[in-house]
Amino acid sequence: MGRIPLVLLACGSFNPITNQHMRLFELARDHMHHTGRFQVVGGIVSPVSDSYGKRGLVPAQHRVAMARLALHGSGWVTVDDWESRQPDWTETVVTLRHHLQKLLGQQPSAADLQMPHSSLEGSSEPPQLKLLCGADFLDTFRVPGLWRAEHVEELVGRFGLVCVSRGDLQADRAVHESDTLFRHRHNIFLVREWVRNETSATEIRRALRRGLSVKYLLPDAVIDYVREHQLYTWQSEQRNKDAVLRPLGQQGAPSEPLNDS
Amino acid sequence: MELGSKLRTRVLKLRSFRRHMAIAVHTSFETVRLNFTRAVLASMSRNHPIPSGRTMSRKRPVGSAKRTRTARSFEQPKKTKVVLLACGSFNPITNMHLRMFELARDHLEDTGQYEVVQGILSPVGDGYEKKGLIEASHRGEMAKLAAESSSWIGVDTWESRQANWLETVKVLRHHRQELLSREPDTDVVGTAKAGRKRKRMDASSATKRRKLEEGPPQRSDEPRLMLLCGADMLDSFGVPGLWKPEDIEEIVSSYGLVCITRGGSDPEAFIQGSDLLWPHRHNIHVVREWVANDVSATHIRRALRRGHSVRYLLPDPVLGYIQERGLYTTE
Repeated sequence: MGRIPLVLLACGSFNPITNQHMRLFELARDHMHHTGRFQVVGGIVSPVSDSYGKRGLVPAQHRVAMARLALHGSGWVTVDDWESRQPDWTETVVTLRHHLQKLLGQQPSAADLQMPHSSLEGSSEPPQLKLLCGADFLDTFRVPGLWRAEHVEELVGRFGLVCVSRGDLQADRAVHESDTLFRHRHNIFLVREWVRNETSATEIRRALRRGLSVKYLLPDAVIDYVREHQLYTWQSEQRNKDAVLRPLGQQGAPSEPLNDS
Repeated sequence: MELGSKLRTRVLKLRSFRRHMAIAVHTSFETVRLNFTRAVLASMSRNHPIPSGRTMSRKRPVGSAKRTRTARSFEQPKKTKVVLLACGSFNPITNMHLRMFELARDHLEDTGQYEVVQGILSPVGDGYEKKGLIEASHRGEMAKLAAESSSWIGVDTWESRQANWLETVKVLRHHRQELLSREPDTDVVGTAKAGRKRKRMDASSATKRRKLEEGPPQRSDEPRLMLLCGADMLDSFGVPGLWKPEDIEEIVSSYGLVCITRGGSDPEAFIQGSDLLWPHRHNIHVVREWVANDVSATHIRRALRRGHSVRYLLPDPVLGYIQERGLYTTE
């Protein structure tokens, strides 16, 4: 058939993971499959490390555990805690490189970094790894000094994006207004979710703080976990209140916001 | 998390304060709310039973509480018990339908005046003849699968088993009768599913008709049955010829509405502009859903027709049911 095996990687806080996060994977898989060119063989949820310093971020061990509970019956999406175990915050491109290396089962060489598609022995297509994100992620490229130009180039050129957005044209506009993104527009896949579903992790944390129900917005097993460990209180939301986001705090290094909702 | 039947029976036998504690311990998170916190605080206080938030300002002399910390000393203002009834196609049931119950319960209990004890999903009968409506037996089964994980929401298939379509007000009347014919001292929580098995089949039709004409007797502990709906149903009151005015009157006066808004509708304005509804505005509870969530059964049916995933939009057991039987694959 000649379909390219594809793995989707989502980086984010997953604080906590929600049905909406899992929907992103489902929508992306359907879309990529319908292009006729890809066979989605896996999905990876990669929770950010605690050193990211985002307000209200509960310890990574909990976020990883909840994601595992949520994806227990998934069948194709897994949770990887490599990024969460790194001593410092990891740039998105570094996380992508790590996972592609694992996927290809080979050491990255200079040649690999140059060539977008490394050719393997055998006739089967080499697997690809693309970043799964929302439309607001694309807008972050435009903020001056936020991304290293070579990182953006590698992200959209070597890897590629699968970007899920609502029926508005925010994502199309972002691609149009950036020369880098425009040049790699064939490697940026825009997936439309026509119905609004804005139940974000932020909303869910708010509801939990106020003792309101979040049932049917995330799996029961995750809700039980939250209750057992008493996560997401007013106190937990004060965490990192006065801290600077890790990427912004790195001296002399460009910063990037995180792709999450 | 579902209560085992034995455990549920033991839980139901406890009263007020101890019941709150037991339920708080044994049921899943969404029922552990202010009541649990108050119960914990009450167990820590020596002389002062912790009042509800509404009565916090009421001063109590320190020495007055010779009472022990028993259930009866735990004072709370008398709350109206509420049963929420949702009528609809549920074609298929979705997470959004179930969310409506959760939002409604949170809203009503937040006022401090109500205790929501039961939720009923009542799928419409096949006589409704709406395009794309699959058999009631399937829709009822899916609703049951969806409600399985809930401790208080259940499914009633009476309406779906009627040969002809029934007006909403008739469904309300039927369920009110059902509530009345229950044992008065039975705690309603958790019996929604068991209670139907104990439904009295022996009431003669003459007795029933007489009760309906007289109007149901008001017991002090009778739970109030309220209709749970979306703003679109409220708006439909304004469509000429769709509703009988006397039916609307009966719904908002004898029962009550809990209306969940979606973005783009203004229920308060609608009530304000309606001479029929405005006198009963205190019986119409508008629940604002702050977070837009448009995922509808229509959207899900469309996605299924096109072979798209609907996972996480409805409970997994419902999705499994649909896939096993190949439902909603064609127009």
